[in-house]
Amino acid sequence: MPMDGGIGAATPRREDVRFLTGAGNYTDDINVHGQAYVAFLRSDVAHGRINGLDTAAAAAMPGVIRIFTGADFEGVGGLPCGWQVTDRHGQPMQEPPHPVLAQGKVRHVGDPIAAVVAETLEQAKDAVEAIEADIEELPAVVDMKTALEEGAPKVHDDLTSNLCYDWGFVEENREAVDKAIREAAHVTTLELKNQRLVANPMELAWRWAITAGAPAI
Amino acid sequence: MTKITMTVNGRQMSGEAEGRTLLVDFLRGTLGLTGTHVGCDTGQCGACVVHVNGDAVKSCNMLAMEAEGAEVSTIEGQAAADGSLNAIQAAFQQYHGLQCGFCTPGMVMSAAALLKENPKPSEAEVRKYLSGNLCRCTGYHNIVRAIMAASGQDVSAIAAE
Repeated sequence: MPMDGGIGAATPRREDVRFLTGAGNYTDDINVHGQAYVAFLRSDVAHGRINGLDTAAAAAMPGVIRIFTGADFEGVGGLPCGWQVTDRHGQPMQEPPHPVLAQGKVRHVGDPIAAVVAETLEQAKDAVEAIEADIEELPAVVDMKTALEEGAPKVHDDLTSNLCYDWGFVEENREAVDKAIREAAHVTTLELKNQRLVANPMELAWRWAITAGAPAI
Repeated sequence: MTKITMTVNGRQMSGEAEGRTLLVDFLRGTLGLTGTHVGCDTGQCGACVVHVNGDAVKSCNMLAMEAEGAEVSTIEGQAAADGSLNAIQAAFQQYHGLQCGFCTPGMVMSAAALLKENPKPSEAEVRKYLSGNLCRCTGYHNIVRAIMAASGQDVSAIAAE
């Protein structure tokens, strides 16, 4: 049990009362004068080529301030991978570009295609529905094994394969590992599948941004 | 836009809503009760749990108009008028059943609904009842302890995390 006093004691947190009474001040609780909202058009196919994107009708809808598409971010760079992995053979991982809005292709269901900024969230959502997206669905792979097969559709055309990296600590201890398995009384072989791992907080759907001379989003 | 009226935490409140307005958006946006949270918008996380006519509901899965004339209770109505925490809230603090606090309103409202229908739940019953409430900070353990302690049960046998 925790001690009652001194170092290591469990002490009541001062912030708990406001969190327990609904008086916390989270990102989506903030409202400022002139605040605008953003809603995203996202891909409903796992893999597709964007043949056309018509935002004219959406842009003319009530309250719409600006619509962004991948074309607005050409040459801007994308989202870098925060953790570069070296594979078990000492080679760097393959890192494709991750544009903030899809450019040319969509690569997963939910891939953001366009962002609509409007005076209210409802207006932004309505305008998203008015964007005409001509997306040609392409073959997709939805499991790891198939993704690694020869000739599997590639998520990123400019990479050599769908393998980002093959990671492990086997090579640096290969002899000992081989010996242990060879001399083991019993060896079990099994296929392990992991779910997608995403480290997100509960408060994940909201961002608040302010830029000079522009409304807060 | 249609005017709708409901009793929220014992007070009659009215506001304008569209047909598509969700109860959670009406509570947060129109009535300004931002204690109820939206974590997923898809009925999975439970941060938006409130009580409607005594039943725990995910308010992101209910239209505001469906609550016309209903008795709604939210996290803002759980503490006493003098601000003192109720037994569940106090136990959450005592047993460290929260960290960032985002899921907490939904957890407290679900716990209140559980203890109303099952005043002395077992650990397994608490865990099962909370399956619709997600938390990313605590690992649930201290939430379960808090709820069992709030129900007046000895939690010393449930190991501290």
